[in-house]
Amino acid sequence: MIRPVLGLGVLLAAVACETGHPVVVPLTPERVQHHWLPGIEDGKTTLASATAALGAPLSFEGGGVGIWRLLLVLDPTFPDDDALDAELDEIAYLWWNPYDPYRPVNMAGVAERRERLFENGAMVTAGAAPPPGFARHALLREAEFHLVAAFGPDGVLRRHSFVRVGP
Amino acid sequence: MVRSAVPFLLAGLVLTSCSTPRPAAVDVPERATRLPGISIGQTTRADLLLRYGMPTGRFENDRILTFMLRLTADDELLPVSGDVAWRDPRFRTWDFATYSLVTVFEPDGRLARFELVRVNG
Repeated sequence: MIRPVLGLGVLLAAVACETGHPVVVPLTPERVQHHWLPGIEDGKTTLASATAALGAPLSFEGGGVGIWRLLLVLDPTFPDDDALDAELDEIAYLWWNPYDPYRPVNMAGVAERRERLFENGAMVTAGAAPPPGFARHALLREAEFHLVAAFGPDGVLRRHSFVRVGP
Repeated sequence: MVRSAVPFLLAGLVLTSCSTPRPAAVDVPERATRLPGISIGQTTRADLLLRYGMPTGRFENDRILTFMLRLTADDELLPVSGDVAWRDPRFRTWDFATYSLVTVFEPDGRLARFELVRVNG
């Protein structure tokens, strides 16, 4: 009789611990591409449609390979000086951990920020001529990716990758 | 007889473990052999771009491409943007060990040779 009760208690404690722990949704390339760039598909997407959606690629390599630099940001409007400072302070507050630089110090804050990102965040493209203020987005990016797309002679996407390059 | 030998055996084990050198850190040439998806004569320029993203350097009319890589805590080499925001704490670990993957291509676009150069840390 006591054993099932003990087992149930341990299970409940485990569930409580689990649910009480903030969940930070990882920004894996697969998840981010599915959320922000669902229309990129091998065999379907064309260079014209990709350019229409993302602007001209930052680099166009030989062999029909186009590369877009994409920044994931919380707010696609360009921040003024005060907003920039406030955002940088928040990032520092959430992530600065003197004991383990690989882990954020404030998991709950990071989890909340990640929720806001998936609700209101935007993917910003760096074109050949980045718009004014783009450097500020680069400072505040939640993550940076390169979309590498290899097009065939007919302009149709043959294969692509979505590479996370930071932070 | 056996019992009296146990302390000496334990002491011997402890001393041996103290004097055993720690495994050497993986050196750069060995790490280069672990780079996935790179094969001389087979890997194409497109293959490398798809794996590592935009090159951080280009030389000799794009015959030579370089990619900046960082070593993660999981011993993975991942591509790094050339644009690092040093005020952002998330970049704090990035200066510990950085590598430059230097790739040289044949005129037909296939990989002729490559080197992994440790440039920091």
